[in-house]
Amino acid sequence: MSHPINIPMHRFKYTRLTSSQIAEKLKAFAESGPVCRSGYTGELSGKSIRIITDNGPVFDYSFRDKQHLSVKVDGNTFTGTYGALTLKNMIFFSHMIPSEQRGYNVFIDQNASLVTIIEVWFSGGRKERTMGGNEIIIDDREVQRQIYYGYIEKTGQTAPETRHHLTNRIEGKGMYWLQDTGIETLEFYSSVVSTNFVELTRLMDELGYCSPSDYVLVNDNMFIYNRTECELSGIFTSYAVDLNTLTQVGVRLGFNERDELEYYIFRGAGKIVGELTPLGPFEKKGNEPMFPQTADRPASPAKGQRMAYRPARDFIHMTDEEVHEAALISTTNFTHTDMDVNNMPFSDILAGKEFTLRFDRGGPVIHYKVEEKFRLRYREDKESTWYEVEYRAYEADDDLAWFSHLLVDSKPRTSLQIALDLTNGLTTCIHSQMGTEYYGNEVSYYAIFGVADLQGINPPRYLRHELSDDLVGHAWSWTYSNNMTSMHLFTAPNSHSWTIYTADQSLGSQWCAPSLLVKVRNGVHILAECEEACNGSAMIVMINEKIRHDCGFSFQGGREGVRLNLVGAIGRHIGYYDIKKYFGPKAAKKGV
Amino acid sequence: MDTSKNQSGLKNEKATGRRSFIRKMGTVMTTGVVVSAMPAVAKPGKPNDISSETMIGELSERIAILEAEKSIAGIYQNYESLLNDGNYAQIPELFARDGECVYNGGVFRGRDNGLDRLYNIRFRNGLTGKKLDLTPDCQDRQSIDMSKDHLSALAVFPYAMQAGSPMVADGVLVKMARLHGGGINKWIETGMCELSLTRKSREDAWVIKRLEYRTESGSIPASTLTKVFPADPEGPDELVYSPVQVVLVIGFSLGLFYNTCLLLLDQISFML
Repeated sequence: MSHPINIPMHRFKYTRLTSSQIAEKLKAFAESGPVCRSGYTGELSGKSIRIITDNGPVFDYSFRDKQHLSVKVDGNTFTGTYGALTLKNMIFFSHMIPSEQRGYNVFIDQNASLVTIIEVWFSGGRKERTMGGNEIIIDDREVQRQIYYGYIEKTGQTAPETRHHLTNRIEGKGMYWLQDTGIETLEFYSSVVSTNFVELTRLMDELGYCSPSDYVLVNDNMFIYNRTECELSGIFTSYAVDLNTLTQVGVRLGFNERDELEYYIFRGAGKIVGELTPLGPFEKKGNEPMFPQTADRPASPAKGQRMAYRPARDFIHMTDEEVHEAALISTTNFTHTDMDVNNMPFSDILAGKEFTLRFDRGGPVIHYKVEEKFRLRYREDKESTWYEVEYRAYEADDDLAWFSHLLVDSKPRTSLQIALDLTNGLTTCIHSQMGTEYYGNEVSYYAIFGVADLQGINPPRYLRHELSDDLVGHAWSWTYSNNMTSMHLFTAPNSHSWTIYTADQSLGSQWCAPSLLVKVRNGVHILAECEEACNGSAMIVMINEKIRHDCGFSFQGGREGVRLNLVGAIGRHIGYYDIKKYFGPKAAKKGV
Repeated sequence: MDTSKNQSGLKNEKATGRRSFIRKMGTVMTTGVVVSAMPAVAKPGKPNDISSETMIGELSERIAILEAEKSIAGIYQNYESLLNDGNYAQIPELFARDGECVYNGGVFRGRDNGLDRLYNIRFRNGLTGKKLDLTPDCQDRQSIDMSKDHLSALAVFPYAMQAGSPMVADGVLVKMARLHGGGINKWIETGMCELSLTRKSREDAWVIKRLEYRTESGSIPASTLTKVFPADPEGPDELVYSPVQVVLVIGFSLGLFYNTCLLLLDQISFML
């Protein structure tokens, strides 16, 4: 047992284990097979079965007892260890091939004599092309998988006509799971090729993460699931779920952040925490694997290929100085992009006004003179110089100004996004500047709260806008233009994810980032986030649930300079997970 | 261009100077039937061997035309299928080294330069070229006209394809959408694709000297290219103007000239 880590997984520097290091660690499980807290089932002891797969090998299994088996696959016979668990009429077992870095996870549906086998392996050397066009070799520690569908051969009987198959029937479901290991997770099956999950036990911060996944339909109440934490530890989790009893049996295989090999099978009990509305067709897209679409895609995908989003592979590290040098050449603001086609209109709600924003606890005091719809002058209290800049403002709700501008000649380049409630003088500023401790071309941001000296308003002394979890568990789709819609899922108080709607409205690739939410009014929130270890862009928008609209800004720096741009979309509420009760300060539990 | 239709006296068949491939085939066949009927009606005493030689010569010519036409149609089919499958890298190979393509108001020149830029960058980034079904009335708008020496040809094919251009955005959504074939502003284009082809000898393969998209309609009005390379990294080598634009420019110039004249006359009359 060890204490959970406090470094977010997307920031953690996982060791690049070599193939020989992996082989050495796998030896430890050669004798024992997968560990299990709940005790193995002896259901298969003394039995022999032949599994025919449509797209893979024939497997001849003989089970000596509840931990030892021999298998003939691809013409070779191996003897080794295994562990099995039952879930109603499903038998699940897992084993590795001795002296090799591959193994099989077998789900036998005894009612229908159908089988799904997930082959897993390390050190695959598989190549992928990133979105930036770079060819990469996948890390050896990342578990690879290939799914085979088949059936149990029975003498004198013809092969069943049906098979287990990929499905989109699970899309949208959210579950809380407690394993027999004591591990708790929230898992949101919000895409047909990915999962959002929150580690409630393993990590100190309650952040959401996304990983490529497969969903295989067994029958109306049972499905088989897997995910591989690509671009994180590379660990693999797979299980069968019975939705009627909300129970699971499965396996976890891979190397954790301490480079320890985890290989155990588990039982778990769960709860459905909610559903998001899938907008795709029933049983259409989900029946087919989804692979990255490239202009000249290969005719048949390579073994193990999956829809894995690896943004950091194309994210070029820049220092603070490099970013600033680029900013000196080009710093632009308010250029239209395809992300603001459905934006809210600009407002002149501030034109003609003079006010001072006073932020709490030694925060800045900024004087404003707004003379026009698109230009204002500002002066920080500690300075005597008035700076004139371009700005853009929205009236995000009645008498609620939401505006942004760059700080003139700032180093690092800085922009402010400010909500100013003209009815009560409350104000929030999202201070966004280039650079984090990881990348010069990532944006760091924070929220500060205060009040405005505004003619005719006596601002409150104690009441403030505040960080909020009002949106936690909610999913909103945002349509930026006719050809661009994504879903924001507020998976935790400090993180959210975004998922792409594909052409048939099935949800596809997704990624996530830490974020913050500020409640400005009932149903009106600021979302601030940076696409960390991704492309470093920040998006700071105001969400008005009442009119199903958001509007705001993006802030980004790179080789092309620094840009403060516009973002805005029309939205739909997609659903809600009742998960707030799982979050908040509590005694930290130890990991496995 | 000295085309084969001039030889066969079909110049007035179509005001456009084009005739349908099917009709042309019909013409060839008709000619063939007449020629083959000639020996039967030949008067006694006339040397039949001349007729045979003529007949063989004409038939050989017709076969050569048909073969050339088939080959040209094949090139276009290959071009369409490479586009449809996203095999952009192979498309410039169908062109002559100094070949060019006119698309969306720009001329892209040179197999290794402009054409590579057009297909390997612009079309690839927009996933442009997915073939769409043509309406039945388009089918007979195809034509192939060949020069007398069979070394150059003009071919016109109706086309319907999906075109696109990558979205402009700072965030990752566009890149993610690209994984699913999205992140692109897409539209549908239909019109005529005109090919000018050439070959060094009758035995050589045809190569495209010039390919021009004459877009007749689009599902959305795609803005024409406005910058040339290298100002636009995917841009053309030269901008071209549509007839409408030319008319507008001439009209504007004439208007300006007319107004200037009026102003001058006014000045002169004032001075007088």
